[in-house]
Amino acid sequence: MNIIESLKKNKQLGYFIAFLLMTLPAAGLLPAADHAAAAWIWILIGLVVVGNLIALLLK
Amino acid sequence: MTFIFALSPIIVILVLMVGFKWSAARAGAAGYLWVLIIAILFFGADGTLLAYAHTKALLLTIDVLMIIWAAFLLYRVTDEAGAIKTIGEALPHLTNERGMQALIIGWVFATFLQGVGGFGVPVAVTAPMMVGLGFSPLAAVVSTSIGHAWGVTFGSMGSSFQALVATTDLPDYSLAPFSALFLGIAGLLGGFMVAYVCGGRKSIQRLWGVIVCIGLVMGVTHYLIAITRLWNIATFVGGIVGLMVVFPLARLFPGEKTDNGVLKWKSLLIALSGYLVLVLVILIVQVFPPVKQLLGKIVISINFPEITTKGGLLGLAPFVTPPGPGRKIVLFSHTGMVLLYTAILAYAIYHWTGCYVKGSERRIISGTMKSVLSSSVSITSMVTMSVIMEHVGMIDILARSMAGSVGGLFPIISPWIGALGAFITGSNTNSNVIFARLQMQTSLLLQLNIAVILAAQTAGAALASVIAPTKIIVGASTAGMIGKEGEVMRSLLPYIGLLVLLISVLTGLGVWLIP
Repeated sequence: MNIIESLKKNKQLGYFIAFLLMTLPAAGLLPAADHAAAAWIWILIGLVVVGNLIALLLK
Repeated sequence: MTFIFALSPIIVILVLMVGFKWSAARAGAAGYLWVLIIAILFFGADGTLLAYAHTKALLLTIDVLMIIWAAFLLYRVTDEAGAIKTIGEALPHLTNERGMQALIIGWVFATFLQGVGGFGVPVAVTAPMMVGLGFSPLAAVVSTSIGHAWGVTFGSMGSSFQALVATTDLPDYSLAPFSALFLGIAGLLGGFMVAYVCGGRKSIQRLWGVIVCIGLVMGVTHYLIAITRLWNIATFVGGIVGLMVVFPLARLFPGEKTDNGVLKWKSLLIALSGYLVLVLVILIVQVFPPVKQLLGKIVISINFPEITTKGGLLGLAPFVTPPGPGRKIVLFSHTGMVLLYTAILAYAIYHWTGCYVKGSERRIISGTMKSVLSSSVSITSMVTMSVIMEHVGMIDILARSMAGSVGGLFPIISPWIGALGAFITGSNTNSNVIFARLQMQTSLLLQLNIAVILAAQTAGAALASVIAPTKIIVGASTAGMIGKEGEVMRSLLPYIGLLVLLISVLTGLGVWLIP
């Protein structure tokens, strides 16, 4: 909760982290899909979801 | 039911942004999360499909964001050097005639600013200038908003047009002509509107010849630059040529003499040097084959396999996305990189001529970061949302439903779809990302000219982007109209409505004349 609150106070940092989480894991999805590594795919998509959740919480 | 589910991500964004006044970044994230849930549950998206869709979306996002980041950096480099201020201060020296001042600042200079900066900059810079010259704040915001709207698609170094090209994967040379033509015609009408807003019918009666002359020069230049594949500077060059034409024309309407101070020619030339560098760098990169070849050596390109949905709770037939390459990015000759080279050279010139003060570099970097982060987040989530929608067949369902229900009337409706997207998201780029595939597929089903329909999409979006609540808030706040945003929007709506209607008529004519 404290992390979310501090990100809300420093929105630029929040956007930066959200952006990194939306893009960096997505870069790892291609090799994961090519090797049919289902577990990796869902972990990486999970991280993208976390990035979007952070963006969603930044009022 | 299928149609409602397919439409729901767009509805989510619309409701959150308009109804709940959420920012594009928040609404985009919500749209992404919603599309992910329904794609898995109802449209049969599995991990592999989502993985490839995310990768494709990442390529598209990089393609668009490279331009946005570099364009903003260039804007900050020139603004921090005082170039924008210097050019703006020079303009009232040309004439004291009110109508001419409105045309020069609210139309031509605002267009030029849209060419180099965009992102709400034209209104933020020109509206206070007009207020300073004695125009009412409402007239200042309304006229500058109308004045630069036509330049949005090919402005901001072409980032909105790049989004259209990237999202549809169609060649730029097939999309540019109609887009530039429609917007050029809207620009001419926009000039008349600026004169009307600032001086009523009398202003139009007095200055119609000047408006036609400037409008034709800017519109034709904009068109010619766009069709010669230099579309990322079409608005910029249109604005520059417009400013060059305005100089002699303004002498014909000097107005009453007042003391405007002394024009500092040296400062003006230094201020303009950054933009001269931009033209030179673009010409060198685009025109000289050895440079083009050298910079074109590193290409990011990924071949994707066939992707199929696996069924879902809606029991739909599997939707197949054929194999093929994703968005190809030619790294060192990409428009974003060209802008980066320009920003570095412009910085060197301004630094060498002593335009920067202590701490400028830090302000350039922090100002750029501050401005691009939230739009980067919103573009990333909306692009990903749009690509997932496409890969699970939602866009296909929407296109088929639209083709079936509106049929022959689709060309008339097409620009309004683009306009709606821009109104919701506050951005021509975002509207193109969300709706361009839908427009393309619908026009394919109806066997309409795709280039005309996509021109309608981006032109409608460009014109309506200026009435997006976010843009209106920026404009109103810079002109001292905080709290009167509703008044600004009410005043702008009829003008923008008329311009989008014009695009509807042009689209109807376009698909009728060029099947």
